Amino acid sequence: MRKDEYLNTIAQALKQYDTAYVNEIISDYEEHFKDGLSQGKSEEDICAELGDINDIIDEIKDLLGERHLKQFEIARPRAELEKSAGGYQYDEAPREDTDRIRIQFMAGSADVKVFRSPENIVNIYTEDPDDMVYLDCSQRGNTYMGRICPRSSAKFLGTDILLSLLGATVDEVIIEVPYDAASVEIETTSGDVYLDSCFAETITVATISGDVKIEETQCRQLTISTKSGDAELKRTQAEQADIRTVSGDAHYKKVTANAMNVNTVSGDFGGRWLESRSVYVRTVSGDAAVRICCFGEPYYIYAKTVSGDVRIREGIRLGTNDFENENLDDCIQVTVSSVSGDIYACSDKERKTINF
Amino acid sequence: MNAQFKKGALEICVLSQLASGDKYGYELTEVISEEMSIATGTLYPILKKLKDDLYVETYLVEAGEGPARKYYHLTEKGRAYQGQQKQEWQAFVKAVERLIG
Repeated sequence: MRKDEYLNTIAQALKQYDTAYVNEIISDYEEHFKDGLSQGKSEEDICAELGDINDIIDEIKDLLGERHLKQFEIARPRAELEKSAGGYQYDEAPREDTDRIRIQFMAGSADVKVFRSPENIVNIYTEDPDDMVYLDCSQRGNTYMGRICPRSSAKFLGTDILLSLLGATVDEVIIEVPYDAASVEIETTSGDVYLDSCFAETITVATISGDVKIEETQCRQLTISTKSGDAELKRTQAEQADIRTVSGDAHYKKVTANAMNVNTVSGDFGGRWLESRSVYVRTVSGDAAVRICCFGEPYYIYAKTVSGDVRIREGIRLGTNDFENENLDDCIQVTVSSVSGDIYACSDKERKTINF
Repeated sequence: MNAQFKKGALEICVLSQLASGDKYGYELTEVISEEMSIATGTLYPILKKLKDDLYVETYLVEAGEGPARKYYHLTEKGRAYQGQQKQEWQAFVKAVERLIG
């Protein structure tokens, strides 16, 4: 393989990640090529030395994790969304980061429950007191990091080289977080994650097969990423909510998010009482049911599916099957696209403009 | 050589090589390649992460014609981290030796 192909393949694979970050790594490789070429090596030789391109891409993705993903697309132009008044606003204004608590926890197969601490402190403990010995927590300034150690402590630099297959240890970890933490990041492989009554600026949950349930929580930025786990949001408010799953479903009930962004392959998206001014739903085969209720503000919905169904319903549905719409005098913009699925959109009130 | 062994050890190797003096990327890959065959491409993400964690700093040195060359330098924080990781590595190696008998 030659240099350009090698580097372009890497850049393409990392398209979703922060451009500046990826460019720095690519330019490091460029420099490496330059040095190698000046030593008389050929481009092919250098590519072979650098190693299997897929391994390199995986390494880089591991390092980047979720943090450097590009900002998610949203249905409504971001500038407009920021300018428009109303909607949910995270109560606390951003302060100097050094003041505030950051929590990162990696739980593997253990379940994680995150609560607001009654004493407004950070407290990480296991449900079963005997399991406490497997918790590996450390603190650097205002950042609390924790993870679960496997049974044998022959680990090194986070890589469990020889003795990593001795099974799960801890069942459940409980994390208490204070009010207005800067960020709460939970990562599990198969453990479920449950957040209740949390109030933090940024909440990030990443799991592979665990389910994620978030209740009574408020934050500025909520990011949930699962592969096969489900995501459920209840009575939760965020300025921006990004949910990404592969086959897991995403459900909402009484959720407010100024920008709600959902990306799934085969999972469904549905629920009741979504208040949002920009809903972006993209699925391949999952169904999307956007039931939005919004008061007096124009809003945007972008729903795209390949073979799933899309249902868009606006208004508040009362018990007696009546639709009651608030006065929406500006236009709603609904963009819906489906290849082989069905589209249902209903709205009781006359609109000046509906764009399909 | 076992790929899993290498993966775990690469970071401490990089840190220790930088502890003995600032190096530029290609130089680092050569030095490490002399002792073991590795996919040198994996070193650059490691260096980037060390830089993010403030263990390593970079600076540019003019290289005559062409773009400047980026050198990696171990910070004080990095030096402390290297010392700690080196101890952990040595303890680990001893533990493994005891276990493999």
